[in-house]
Amino acid sequence: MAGLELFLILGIPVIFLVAAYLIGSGIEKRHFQRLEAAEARLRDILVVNLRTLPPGLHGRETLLVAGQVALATDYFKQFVASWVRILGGRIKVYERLMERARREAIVRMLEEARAAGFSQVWNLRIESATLGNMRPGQFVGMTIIAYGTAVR
Amino acid sequence: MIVVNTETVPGRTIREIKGLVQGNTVRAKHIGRDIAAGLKNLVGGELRGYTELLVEARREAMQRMMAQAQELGADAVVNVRFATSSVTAGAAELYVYGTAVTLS
Repeated sequence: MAGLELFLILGIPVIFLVAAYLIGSGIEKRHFQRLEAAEARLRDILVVNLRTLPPGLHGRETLLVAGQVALATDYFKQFVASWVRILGGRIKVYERLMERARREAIVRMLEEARAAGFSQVWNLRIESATLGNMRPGQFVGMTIIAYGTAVR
Repeated sequence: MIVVNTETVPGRTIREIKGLVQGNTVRAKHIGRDIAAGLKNLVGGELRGYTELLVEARREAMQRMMAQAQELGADAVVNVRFATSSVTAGAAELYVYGTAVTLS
């Protein structure tokens, strides 16, 4: 019976880790595929982070457009991150999470611009925040807002 | 009310600067969405409840900012910026600020 208890105490977290890793990487891969497809559709919209509008845009219509997203971390990412914080190095799992969040927010902003009939977005800015302060250094997820001025 | 995050509105010049205007909201989720987020935390994915929360927060904060600009008698708000932060577990603040101006 002691063997069974030991198996359960060690085995259940490992099962969760493996499940989180497999499902999490599946979600990630599909998200990256959706992002590539969306970005290909929206490639003709000009996006710059220049602040000053050129003088030639006289009399054009403007609209503030924004895209927002909140993405969750998962059990596996947090596990990896806690080890990297001890050993040092890049936390690639979080790098990928932030890249997905940024690209998703920008895609949503461009979709709002496209839906309203705009073809240019100026002064792109990105703000982020982590969500949930369960324990120091742990976060439930991160949120990004990407916004700019659409011009036509 | 024209709202832009550039410093100028294309083709118009700024006649008078009315001042800084702002809007903010702090929104919390109800328990149902929070539980769903807790499950998402096991495997990852988008937190739709939180995203909707922040989109509503953005709209409300922008309304408040434009109302302030209206009170000052402005035509436009320029150089709008957003800031977002997590206030407490399950709640997020969205803050928007800009400069209210009149255009010629």
